[in-house]
Amino acid sequence: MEQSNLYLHKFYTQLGHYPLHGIGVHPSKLPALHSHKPEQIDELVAVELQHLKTHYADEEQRYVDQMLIENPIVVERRAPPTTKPQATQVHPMQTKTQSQTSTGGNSRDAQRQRAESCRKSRYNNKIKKAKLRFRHKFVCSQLTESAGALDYMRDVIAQAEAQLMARGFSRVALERMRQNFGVDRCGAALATNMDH
Amino acid sequence: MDNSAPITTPDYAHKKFSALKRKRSQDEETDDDVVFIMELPAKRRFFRPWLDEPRATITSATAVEQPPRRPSPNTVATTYHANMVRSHTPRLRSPKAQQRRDRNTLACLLSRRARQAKQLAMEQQYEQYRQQHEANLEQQVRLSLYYVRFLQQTMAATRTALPDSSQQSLQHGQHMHQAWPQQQATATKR
Repeated sequence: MEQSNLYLHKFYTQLGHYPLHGIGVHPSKLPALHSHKPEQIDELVAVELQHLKTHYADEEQRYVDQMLIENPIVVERRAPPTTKPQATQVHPMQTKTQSQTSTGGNSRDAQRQRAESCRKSRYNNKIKKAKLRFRHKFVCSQLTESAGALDYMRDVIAQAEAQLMARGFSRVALERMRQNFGVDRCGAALATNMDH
Repeated sequence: MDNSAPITTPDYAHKKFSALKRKRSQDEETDDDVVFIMELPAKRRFFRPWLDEPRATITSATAVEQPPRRPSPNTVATTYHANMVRSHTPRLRSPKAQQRRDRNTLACLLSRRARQAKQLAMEQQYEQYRQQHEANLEQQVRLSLYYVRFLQQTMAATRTALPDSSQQSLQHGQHMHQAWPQQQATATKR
């Protein structure tokens, strides 16, 4: 079941069987013998966060590419591209004005080259702007989702903590554990922060 | 992108700027400078209302001259690009037509700047949201670790100590286990 994947993932990480990182997790880490030292926690968090960031980047790229396929960028041209200007076609016949036509041809070439560069630049800029729009859309949806998930997780944890305290677990000990895991660190927004 | 010097290539040169080397004005970016709508000014070579002399400003809106130009946060996106000024041969126009052209040029400039400002704002917001999302992900990892490694195990440990309430807590524990959010799960699915 998908919903339990997170738990399974963490569980396997603890047991050291999950090869997902490509980095060998210490097989000595058994659930019952886990020490909750902040440094170890931080290390685990850093590794997992790195994977999540990579995954996010992949998903974002995939989304942007998909959006670009669904909404292709089109740059209109004013006139169909001409093959060659007429002066160069009559070039062999007019030897006197050869130098002039070649100069004219040069300037026309330059003009054509400049027009092509402009067109390419416009097209690339359009693509860049579209990509930013799609990335912005993606990050908005991801942020809403992560903020909502955080709220839910905090609710569940609050329930579990309440249960533990009802069973006699000391609040001080809970607070200590929360600090160890860095659960109360600032920077994590609630869902309401999105509503500007 | 800094286009402080006019770019000249062998085949393509800005005659305008090689002929008249005007020092690029660095701090002409306040909107007030370009808000004014001028009546047809005395003949000027380039359309740069923000550089005009005070005598030419028979303005209907705000004045050109201001005390110290205050740098606004949006000036970053509104640098002057020398290459953008075209160097077509000057066309003879009636005063009214020239005025129309001037107004149109001004309007284009303003809309271009507004577009650039919007683009910049979107970039900044994207970056802000991305960082926020990253912070959220980190918190999710920490909360998961806290829940799985500590809370669940402690609950299980205390559960065995209280056999009479074991059924309730067992159900609750299972419910929480199954309902743990799947966002990270989808992320970690390999």
